[in-house]
This record gives sequence, structure tokens and C-alpha cells, in this order.
Amino acid sequence: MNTNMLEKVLWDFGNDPSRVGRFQQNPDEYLSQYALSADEKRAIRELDVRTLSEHKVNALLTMMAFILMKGPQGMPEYMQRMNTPRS
Amino acid sequence: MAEIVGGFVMAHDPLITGEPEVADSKQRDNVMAAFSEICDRVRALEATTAIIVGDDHYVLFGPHCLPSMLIGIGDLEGPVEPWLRIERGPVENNQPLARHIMEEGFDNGFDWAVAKVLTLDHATMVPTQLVARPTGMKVIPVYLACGVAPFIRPRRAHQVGQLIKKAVESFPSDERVVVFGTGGISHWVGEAQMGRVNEEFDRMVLSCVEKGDVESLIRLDNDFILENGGNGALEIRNFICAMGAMSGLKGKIKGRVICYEAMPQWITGLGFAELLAA
Repeated sequence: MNTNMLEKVLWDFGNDPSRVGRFQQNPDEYLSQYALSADEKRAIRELDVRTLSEHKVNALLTMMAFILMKGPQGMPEYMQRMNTPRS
Repeated sequence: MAEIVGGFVMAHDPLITGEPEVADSKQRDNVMAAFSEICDRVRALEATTAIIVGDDHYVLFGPHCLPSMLIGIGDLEGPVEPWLRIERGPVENNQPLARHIMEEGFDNGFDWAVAKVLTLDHATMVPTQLVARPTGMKVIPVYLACGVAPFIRPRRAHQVGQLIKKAVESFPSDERVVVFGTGGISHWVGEAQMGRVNEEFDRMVLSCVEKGDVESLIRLDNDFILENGGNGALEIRNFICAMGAMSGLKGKIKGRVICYEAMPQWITGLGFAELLAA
């Protein structure tokens, strides 16, 4: 996975939170502006923070993006995903 | 000439101001008392400016540009985080001194990244809110790469501190300057172990600060820090920088621990110490 590009996608959400709405309305169209593989798009679309973490995407960004998408109340789910190996 | 009259290491945990209610009340009171004691010391030192050394958390700077060392020389405002419960507004910079530190750096092999306009994050805003503002000090923000790789080398962070000292002492004014090394100590931010605090690691760091043993801190390798202190513990580079700025005539310093609290509710081991020329 291209960690640099994945970090760019996540950082852009924090830098301009209006992007979150555009992403959530049409994830495929939103992600088409980035040079991402199918797997990378899936990881972003599904907020697969565990996989992103395993590919060394910075945890500051995975947490920030998850909270932007799910709200602060999403933290327990974030921690569960970070601590649950993918099957 | 201006002089560095004092130095401190302190926490910059955003939950201190952002979520005080989740903390154990006694521990919270001890942490706030530590900030209050630092304020008292700053007043006793008659300090006029605080150079606050912190680090970005992948908010101010992105993958397109990651400065190793940055100084804010112009307009400051903050915080960038709306949830910090600090009202966003201007922060008074000591622009002439900040520019002098920049120029001294350029003349001595330190290629600062420079911000003419800077929005501060919690790393510099929490100490600004809890110490600089109550004591009426101007602020010069310095950001070192501790939160996002590639990280500044610990030895380089120390050299930056020494550069800051040299620059302050060549500034033609009667400014009395304190240096804050902020962050840490152990915390895992956004990682699977978030909430873990390693008191043994934290007390080892504070012991090094107390003994003035900056070399031991410089020699800690990243793998050891990440395993024992978490990604947040790389912020001890900011401590190392402040210790560099406080080095006495023979490079000797010592520290006085003010407070330590292991606080999982604030996801951090919070340490505070005063740095003293030995």
C-alpha cells in the first residue's frame, strides 16, 4: 500500500472537513481524485484503520479521520477496530 | 543583552483543557498546581518571553511539507483545535527576538523553516494558555518534528536548544527569556495501546532531567521509545531542546521535578520539572 498517498487522503479530511461530506455522499467519485489502488480505496471507504495501521499509516491521521467520520462517540469503535486482527 | 533566566519541561496534553472532567480530580488538581507553580516561578524570574518548544500532530503540516525545525516569527493565533476549550484568538509573539533567533540560525548552519503567520496547536497553546498568558509573557513558538516521521534527530534537537541560547544571549535588549520543552511523557496516540501509561519509563526520563543527564535521553533509540513510551514519547526531543537551551557555562544543568501524574484518563504520563543551570 502507498502509505504516503493514504496519509494524504486522510490529512485532506482534517485540513478541509467539508471534504468529509463529499466523501460520504459518493466515496468512489471522491477517491477517484487520488492515485489509489482498489485495496487502498477499500481501506479508506471502510475506515479499515487496522489495515491502515498495519501498513504504517500514521495513527494520528487514522484516529483524526475516524472521529471526523463517526464523531467523538466513535472512539470505542475505533479502539475496538485497532485491537481486532483482521480475519 | 537578553538572557535565558529559566527553563521548564511540562505536559501539553490537550485533554488538560479539552476534557478536564474525565480526569481523577486529585490528579487533575496536582497537574493544575504544577502549572500554577511554574507561573509563580516565571513571575519570580521576571520573565518577559517564553520560547515554547512543541511539535505538530499532523494538523498544521501535512505530507506535502514536514519541517524538521520551524520558528514562528510573525503573527500567531490559535488554537487550531476547536475542542480545546481555549477561545481562539491572537497570541503575542516577540517578533524581533524570534527574527533574531531565525537569523542567528541561518548564520550558524541551522536552516529553519519559518512561519510568518502561524496557527498554533495544543502543543504550544496549552502552555500559552496556562502559563504565558497568566504571566503576561510574549510567546515564540518553535516546532520540532517529533510527532510525524521523519523525526528530528535528538542530537539535533539539543543543538537547536544551544542555538537558541546563543541567539538569545546575543540579542541587544533586556529581555528575560524562559524556555519550555513540552509534551510527553509516555502516551500512545491513536494506536492500539492508547490509554496505556508507562510510569517506569516516565520516571526514568524525569530522573535524567533531574540529573541533567541529557546524553542518556539523546541516546535513547526510537524503537526503545516507541515500545516503552509510545509514539507520543518521541516528544522528549522537546525536553532535550530545552535542556540544550539551559546548558550552563560547562554544559551542565540539573532539574527539579515539580510533579508527575500517571493519568490513563488523559492517556498520558504527565511530567513537570524546572531546569536549572548547575
